[in-house]
Amino acid sequence: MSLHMRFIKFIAALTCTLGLLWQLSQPIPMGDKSIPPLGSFFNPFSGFWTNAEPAGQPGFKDISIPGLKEEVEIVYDDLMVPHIFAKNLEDAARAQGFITAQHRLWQMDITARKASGRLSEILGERTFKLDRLARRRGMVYAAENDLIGWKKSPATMQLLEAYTEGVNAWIKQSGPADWPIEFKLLNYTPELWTPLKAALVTEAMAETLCAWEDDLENTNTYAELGADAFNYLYPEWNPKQQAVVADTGQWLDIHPLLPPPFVASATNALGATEAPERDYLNDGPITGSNNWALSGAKTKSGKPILCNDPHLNLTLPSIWYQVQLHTPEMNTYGVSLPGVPGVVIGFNENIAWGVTNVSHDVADWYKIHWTGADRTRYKLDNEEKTVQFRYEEIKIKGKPIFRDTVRYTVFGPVTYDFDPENPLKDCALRWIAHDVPEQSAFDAFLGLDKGKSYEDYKNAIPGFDSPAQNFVFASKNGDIAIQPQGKYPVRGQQQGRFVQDGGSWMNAWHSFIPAALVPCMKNPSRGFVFSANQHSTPPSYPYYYLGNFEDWRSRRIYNRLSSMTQATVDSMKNMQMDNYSQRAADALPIMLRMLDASKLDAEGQSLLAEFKNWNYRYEPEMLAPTLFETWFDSCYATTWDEIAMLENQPNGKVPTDDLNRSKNAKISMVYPEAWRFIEILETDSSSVYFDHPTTPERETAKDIVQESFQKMQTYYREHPDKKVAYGQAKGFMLKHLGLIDAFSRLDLKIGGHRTAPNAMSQTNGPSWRMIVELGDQVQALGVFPGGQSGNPGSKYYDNMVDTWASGNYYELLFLKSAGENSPRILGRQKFTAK
Amino acid sequence: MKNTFLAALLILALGQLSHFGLPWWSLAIIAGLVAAWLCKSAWQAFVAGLLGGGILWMIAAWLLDSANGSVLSGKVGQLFQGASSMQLLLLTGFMGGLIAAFGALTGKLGKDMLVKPSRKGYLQEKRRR
Repeated sequence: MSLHMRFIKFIAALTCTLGLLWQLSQPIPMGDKSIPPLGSFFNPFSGFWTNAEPAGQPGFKDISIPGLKEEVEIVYDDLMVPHIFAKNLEDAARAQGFITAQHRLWQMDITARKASGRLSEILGERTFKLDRLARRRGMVYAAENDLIGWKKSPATMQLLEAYTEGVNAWIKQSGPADWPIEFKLLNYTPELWTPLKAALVTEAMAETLCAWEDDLENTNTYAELGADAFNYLYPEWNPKQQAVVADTGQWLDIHPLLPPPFVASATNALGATEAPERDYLNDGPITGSNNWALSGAKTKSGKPILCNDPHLNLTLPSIWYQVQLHTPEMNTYGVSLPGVPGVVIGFNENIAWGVTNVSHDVADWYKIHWTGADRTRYKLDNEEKTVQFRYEEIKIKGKPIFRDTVRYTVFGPVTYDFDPENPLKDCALRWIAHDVPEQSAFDAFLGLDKGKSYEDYKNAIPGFDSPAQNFVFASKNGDIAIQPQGKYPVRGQQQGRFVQDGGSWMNAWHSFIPAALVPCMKNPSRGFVFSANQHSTPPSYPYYYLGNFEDWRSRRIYNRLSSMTQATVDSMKNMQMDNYSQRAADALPIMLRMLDASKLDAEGQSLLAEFKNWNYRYEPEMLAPTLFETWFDSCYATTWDEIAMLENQPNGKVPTDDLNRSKNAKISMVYPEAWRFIEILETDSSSVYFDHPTTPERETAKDIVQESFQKMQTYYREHPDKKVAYGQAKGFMLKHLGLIDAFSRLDLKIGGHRTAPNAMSQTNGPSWRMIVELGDQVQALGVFPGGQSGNPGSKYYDNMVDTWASGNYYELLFLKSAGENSPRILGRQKFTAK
Repeated sequence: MKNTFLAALLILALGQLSHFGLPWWSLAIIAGLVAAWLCKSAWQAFVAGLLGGGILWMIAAWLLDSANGSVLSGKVGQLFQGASSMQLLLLTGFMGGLIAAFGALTGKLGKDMLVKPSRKGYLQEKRRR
C-alpha cells in the first residue's frame, strides 16, 4: 500500500473521529430547548451518572477548608440535616456555606440568576423578557443597595463573607463529577458565589413577598365604575377579620401628622398591562403563611408552643434547608435560605420564632411628566429634573448582547417605557425593597439566633425592614409576642391605592412609621398571638396602610385558638393540617338557601346531594370541594360579568368561558374581593350587579345562584373526567425549579385550600411546618416537602415529601454537643483549617 | 486475537484515568495510542476500541447505577423519550465504544501512515483469521 493510500485512509479515519467527537460535544436543539452534549453528559466519570449517589449508608470524610480559624465538627442526622459545631460564628457560617453549596449549589445559582436577569445567558432567548423585566424593575439595583446597607454592619459582612468563602471553597474543591446535574443538563459551569448574590436571593424573596400592588387596576376600575360603585364594591376593611395586633387602647393618644388624603379622580382609564396572568378570583395572596404562639395558660404542659408554616411556591429542591448552628454564644436550629447565612425560622434553647408575610402594599407607581420626547428630563413641581441612566447588559446565549437603558427618577426606575403599548410606560416604580436598608436584616436574624428573652427579640427585629414580616415569638420563660415588622411609608388616606401624580413631590413618601408605633402585642390575656396575612391592625390604628390581605385562614385560626384549651403538639399538628375553608362555610349556606332545589332535574339533585353533609373541608377523597369550587367560581364570574365586559370584551360580549379570565384584556381591572362578594350575596341580593346587562329581565342573586348551578351541572356533564375527588381534581405538584417534570413530584393526592389553614393551591402551600414546645427540653417538630439534597439522584432529594403529604412530622434532632449520641446520627465529619 | 484482547483490556484500564478529571474525549486519544502500539490491523484496532471503551463506560455507569438503585437513571430516562435504565446503560456503553473505536482506528492508521506496516505481521494476522 502506497504512502499516499495510507495517508488518505488516516485522514478519512481522523475526519470520522473528529466528526464524531464534535457531534458528541454539541447540544442538540429541540424546539427552544436543547439536549445536552451527549459525550460529556453520558461520560460515566463526570457526566450525569456521577450524580447517582449511593443509596446505602453515606460516608463522611474529613475535609480541610481554607480560612477556618478552628476545627469544626459536623454531625449529620438521618434526614441529612447538618448540625454544625464551631468555636466561633465565622467558622459556623463558613461551614454552613460549604455544606449548603454541596447540597444546593444549582438552586442558589438559578435563584440569583433569575433575580439578576441573567437567565438568558444559559437558557437563550426564551427567558429574555423575564430577564429584561427583572433588570427594569431594579432588582440588581436593589441588591446593590442592600449591600451598601449591610456594609454598615461589620458583623454582617464578616458572616456574609465567611459564608461566601465557604460556598466558594466547595466550588473550588469540586469538579464536574460533583456538580449538580442541572449544570450538566443546561451545559454550563458553576460560578463563584458573592455577597451580591446573597443579596439577590433576599431580593428574590422581596419580589415574591412585597412587590404586590394594584395601582393600575384600581385606577382603571375607579375610572370605569365611578366613585360610588368603587366604594361599594371595594371596601378596604372586612368587619369579620381579626387583626394581627388587637386594639387595646394603645393608640388612643396617638395623632400623627399625616399627608393629605389622595383624591382619586375619574380620569380616563389607563389600559391593560401585559402583566403576568393574575388570578381571576380576587381572594388575597396565594403566597401567605400562618404562625401562632400559645402561652402556657393554653397548653397542657403549661409551656408555650410556637407554630409556623410559611406558604410559598412549592418546588424541588425545596426552598428551605435545615441546619443547626452551634457556637459558644448560640445553639440554634431551623431553616435557612440556600445562599444566605444563618437561620430564618427556628428556635434555640430559650426562644422560638417564625414569620408570615405582612402583605402591606409597599410598591407605588408615579406618573412622570416628561419635558421632551427623549424622556431625559421631567417636571417635578416647578423644577426640571434629569433622569439617571442605568445601563443593563443582558447576555443571551447564541445571540448578541442586548444593551438596555433604564431611566431612574427620584421615585425609582421607569420600568415599562420601552413598550409604547404599556399603560405604565410613563410611570416610575417606588418600591421599598429598592431602599438602602438602615440596618442589616442579618443582624435581626442573628439577634434571634442568639436570643434568650423577649427583650432580645424586641432588640433584634427592628433591624428588619423588607419584606415586612409578622415575627411571632415565644420564650421558655413564658412570654409570647407578635410584631408586624417592616419599614412602612406614612401615607395619606388612599395613597398608594391608585397610580399617583409624579409631578408633585408632595405625593412622594416622606417618612416612615416610627419603630415605636409599629404594631406589636405581648402576652395578651386571651393567651395567644397569631397571624395569617390578615390586616396588621383594626382600622383604629392611627396610620393608613393598604395591602393584599387574607380573610379566611385568620378567622379559622382565631376561632380555633380562642376555644382551645390544654393544647398539645398533636393539636397543633391538627391545626396546621386543618382543611376547613371559612370561605366555603360562609358562602355555601347562603348559596344553598338561594337555590330552588325543586327546579333541578335528577342529575342536578344528585350533585346537590353531595353538599348535604359536607363539613367545608377540602379533603382529597371528597367530591364536594371539587363541585363547590366550580359552583362558587361560576357564581362569582356570572356576577361580575359587567367588569369582565369592560375589561376584555370591546364588543360587549360576555366571555364564553366564565372560569378563565381573558388574556386579551382591553384594560386591566380589579374584581371585588371574595369576602365582599359573599357579603353582597347575603345582604344585597337585588344589587344591580346580579343583573345581566345583556338580558331584558332583571336578575337577582337567586337567579345567579341558580344559573351558576346549571352551569356547573353542564360543565360536569361535558367533562365527566373532571368530576373526581378533590385531591385528584386539583393536581397538586412539587415542580422542579428548572421545570423538569422528571425531577418533579406531580399528582400529589392531598387536601387543603388557600382559604383553609392547610393552604394548598396547585403549586403553592406550606413550605415548612414547624411546631416548637418550649419546655425544659425543647421539643420541636418539622417537615418540608422535599429533602435536604438538591440532587435528584440522591435519596435525600424528596425523602420528606410523603411524610409531609400525609400530615406527619419529624422530631427535629436538637443536639447539645457534637459528642452527644443518638441512634439517628448517620455520621460525623471534621472541617479543618488548611 | 490475543493483541485485540490485550488492547481492549489496556484501553479499559487506561480509560479510567478519566477519574482524575480528564475530559471524556481523552478516551479516543488513549484508545488511539494503545491501538497504535498493540494492534496489528485497523480492523483489530476498531474491535479493541469498541470492546475496551464500551465495556469501560458501561461498567463504570453500571457500578454507579446499581449502587444508586437506578433512582437517577429512571428520572434521566424520562428526558430521553422514556428510556429505561438498561437502555441508558447500553447507550452509554455504545457511546464509549464508538469513541474508543474511532480513536483506536485513527491511531492505528496514523501509525501505519508513519511506519509502513511489516508485511510479516500483516500475513501472520491474515493467517490467523
